[in-house]
Amino acid sequence: MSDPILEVTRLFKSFGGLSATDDLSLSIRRNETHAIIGPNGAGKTTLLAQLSGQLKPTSGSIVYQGMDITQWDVVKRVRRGIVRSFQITSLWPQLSVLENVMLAVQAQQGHAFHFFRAATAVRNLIGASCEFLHMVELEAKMGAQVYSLSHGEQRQLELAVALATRPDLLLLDEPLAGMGGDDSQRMVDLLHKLKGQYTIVLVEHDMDAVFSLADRISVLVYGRCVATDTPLAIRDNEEVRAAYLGEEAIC
Amino acid sequence: MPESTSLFRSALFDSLVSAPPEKRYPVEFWLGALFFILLACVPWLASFLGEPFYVRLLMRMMIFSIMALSLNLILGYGGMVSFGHSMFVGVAAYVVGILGYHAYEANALAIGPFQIQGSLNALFTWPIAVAATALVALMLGAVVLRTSGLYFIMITLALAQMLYFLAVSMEDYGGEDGLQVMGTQMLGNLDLSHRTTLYYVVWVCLCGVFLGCRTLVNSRFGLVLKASRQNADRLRAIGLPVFWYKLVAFVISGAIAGLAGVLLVSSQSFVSPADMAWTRSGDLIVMVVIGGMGSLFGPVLGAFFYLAAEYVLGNITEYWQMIMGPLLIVIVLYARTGIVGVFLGAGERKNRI
Repeated sequence: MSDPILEVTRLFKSFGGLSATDDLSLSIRRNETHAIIGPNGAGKTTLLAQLSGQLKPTSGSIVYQGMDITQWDVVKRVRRGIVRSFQITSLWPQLSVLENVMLAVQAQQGHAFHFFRAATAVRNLIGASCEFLHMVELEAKMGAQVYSLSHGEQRQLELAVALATRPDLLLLDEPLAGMGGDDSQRMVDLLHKLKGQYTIVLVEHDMDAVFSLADRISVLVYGRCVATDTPLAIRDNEEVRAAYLGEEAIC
Repeated sequence: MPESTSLFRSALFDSLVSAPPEKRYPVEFWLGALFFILLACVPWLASFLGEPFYVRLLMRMMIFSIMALSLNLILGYGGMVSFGHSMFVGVAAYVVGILGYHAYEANALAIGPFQIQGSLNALFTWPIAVAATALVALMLGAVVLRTSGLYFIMITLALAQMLYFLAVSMEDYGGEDGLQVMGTQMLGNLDLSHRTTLYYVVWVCLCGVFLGCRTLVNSRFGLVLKASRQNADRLRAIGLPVFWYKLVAFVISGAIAGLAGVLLVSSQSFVSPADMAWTRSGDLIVMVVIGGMGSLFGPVLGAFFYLAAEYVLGNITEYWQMIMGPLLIVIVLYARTGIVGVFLGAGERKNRI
């Protein structure tokens, strides 16, 4: 396998007396899809927030492509290619679908201190934005205001916004959250398309999706990583069964 | 990117970039143009009617429109509720007033070791006043923009009060009574003491500021500004440092308010601390809100409506605020998108946000 793109070493994060991340070490390989699973409250979202820079760990280190990024803020990490999506949809509801993606493309192009030309007259900006809308199959809705989209469509747009920043490492926080049936299947198909093109850290509760998508799976319990292995091995891992599958039903 | 998307791209370009002209110039555009043309006719109409006072009233309305437009940039589009916007107006007005005072008295203004000659040359004093305001906005913005929400309101109010009391304490320049600007201001060859001349200068400024705001909110910078009001965290998550965008907007807004201050002091030949009082900041917020927050034309209508109501009701009774207050409440309750929303319909305005 290829070299690690992200190396997490002995990460601790505590909120008061509660440790949300407890001596966690993790290695993410380039272009793999690495799923992180665990029961509610296992610290999955807290881990993502530390990888993306929203939260600073209490101790431990995060090394990304050979650079120690533990103290970097969100903006700096995004500029080097670490981008997250959100479990609770986080978009700009009163802008159009196209404008939402345009913002991310602008960010990726450096800055948006352009005061004169109308944003809708910048061809390469619209062109690039359309490509990402095409990827997530939302191009038909590009003129619509985001608040008028269905939940499933908003989840697709959430992904398009993250992709438009051209990440190297994509941190997806429950992309299937709140989706059912067709919507859910469309998103899984989409993730299958992305798999292999990006390094993806996937936090997800839908076990069918996780086991079909992931190259490797890490299991978190009470902020601790109890196992990291291939999906097949995780299924048969006794420790995982006892700590996680045995205790709570898979949801 | 997959190759197959390039064909699709060009089809989209055509539909987007060559949008039908009526879509690019909506009804609002033509109504706005008509409004500005009518304004240009006011001096002629007023002399025809033998009511020169209207020139004065309409000029004041236009100056307040500029203030409201500048506030709307940060309040309506950027979501920054500044409760101290009149401080920028006051700073610029005092700069022009003080320079004029020293020119008239023919003694130089001494700041430490520096001697500054007073001046009544608007080509010199106006840019200085606007630049000074922008500088004040930059320094204050760097502090206040670290807060948001209620804290932002309170800290802008506090700083505005600070500058207000600074103005009150300047005994040399009239203190609480204000400063009369003596002498004649010249803008190039234009004699600004001539009312109609000044009227057209104000008119040109208003048109320029309106078109400037229009360009700004439609630009890529404007897109980020609008997005920062709706979801600032997400902007950071895609790698845009929101603070700097807000700061630039704050400075632009302050500079435009400074321009309004320059015009205000020129039109009334007088500046007093009342021009930068917190009540004035409150009036500006009311103008923006009743006109239509986050729409381009709303603040202009709001300013005109507010001053017209003040004038008309003021003629009826000394206690005009007794009527004005309930009227504002009714507008805010029943026309939540402001006066602009009433004209254009709620649906259309939503698209303009």
